[in-house]
Amino acid sequence: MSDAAGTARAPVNLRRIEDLEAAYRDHAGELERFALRQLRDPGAAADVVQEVFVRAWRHAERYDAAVASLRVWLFTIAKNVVVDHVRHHRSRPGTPTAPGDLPPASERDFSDDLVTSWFVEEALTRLGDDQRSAIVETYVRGRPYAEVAAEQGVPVGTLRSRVFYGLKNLRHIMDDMGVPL
Amino acid sequence: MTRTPDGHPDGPAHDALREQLGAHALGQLGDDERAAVDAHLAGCASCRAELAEIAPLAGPLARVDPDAAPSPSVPPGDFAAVLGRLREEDAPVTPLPTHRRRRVPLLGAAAAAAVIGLAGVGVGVAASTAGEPPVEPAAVQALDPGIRADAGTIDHTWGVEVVLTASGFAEGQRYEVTVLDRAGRPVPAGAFRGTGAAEMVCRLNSSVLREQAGGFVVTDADGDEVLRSRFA
Repeated sequence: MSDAAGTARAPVNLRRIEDLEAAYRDHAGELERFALRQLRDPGAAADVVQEVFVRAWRHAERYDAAVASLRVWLFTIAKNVVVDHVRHHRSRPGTPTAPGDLPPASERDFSDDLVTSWFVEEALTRLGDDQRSAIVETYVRGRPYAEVAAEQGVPVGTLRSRVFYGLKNLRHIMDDMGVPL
Repeated sequence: MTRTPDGHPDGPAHDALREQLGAHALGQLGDDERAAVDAHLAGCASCRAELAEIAPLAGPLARVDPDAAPSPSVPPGDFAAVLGRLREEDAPVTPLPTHRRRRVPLLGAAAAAAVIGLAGVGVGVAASTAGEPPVEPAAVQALDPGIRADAGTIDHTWGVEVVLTASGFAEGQRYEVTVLDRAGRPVPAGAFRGTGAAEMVCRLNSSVLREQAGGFVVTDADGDEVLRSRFA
């Protein structure tokens, strides 16, 4: 929402403190929740958010609104910071994370899933109850269709149909959020 | 079963196959069902396109934690800390608009310094230039005799800014600055690198409001305190 409004007005320039602060206002809270989920350490999560905005400022020229929404870009940085944090603390416990650089955009590894799954989780919350529970129960929880259908009082065919339309809606929500799949 | 002119299922039969695409994308179909959908896909471009659209969701969905508690909302964070880090990089940072604060007479700082009454005490009298918010001097005590330092504070709406003018910090060495609130609790305010004999001016931001800030300390890479300042 704020992304769309922000890009429609004037190009975001994160070198400008006003733009950086606006981005902070819009996204710091969600970024901190994301980092907290990954690291389960409030202090580390706060550090991650700070590092994200320092890197965003440092690499402001790399942000291209035509390629990714600001939110997705910031989350991509956050993912890198989280991964750095985990690696660093695995190898050198007790020392603070050294500020690293952004990897090239082509470097896709397991950690991309962190961000995509986070957005999928959020997209799920925007689905209707029927479609969400059809996907969550049969797939995320891996329960048999027959069991879930009986529990929800619908034929198996209806449950399948809910999974299908739920996935289609999920894809549209992800596209609206600007999250690449 | 109705069929299109090119022999593919149409109408309800097509819909039934199409609605299996979700289960197909998620790998939930039995062998026979899967074979039937695959046979249909071979001749139905629109179903292939729909499958291609939803198939990439399977991976990320599998990693969703269905029992994760909704993440608690986090109070608005500490943008001042970000600003402090940026200043640490010695970058030209556009100052934020801040409200003006009455300048405190220099006598107050001199008196504070006199009260501390220790060797190596200096009184920070950082001059405020036109267009900038006023700098309030702060008493400084260097624990390393080689360090000469003056300090001042600027009262921003988002927290106190420390302006440290100093020489004698070991060249290239990293120093951390921590603002202490009135209860003595430490709040990081950024870091700087020493410039040896050359005088440096660094500006460090903290999220502690001026009226709640009691002073700051500078610690070296070993965590040893090398300078302490007390705000009036």
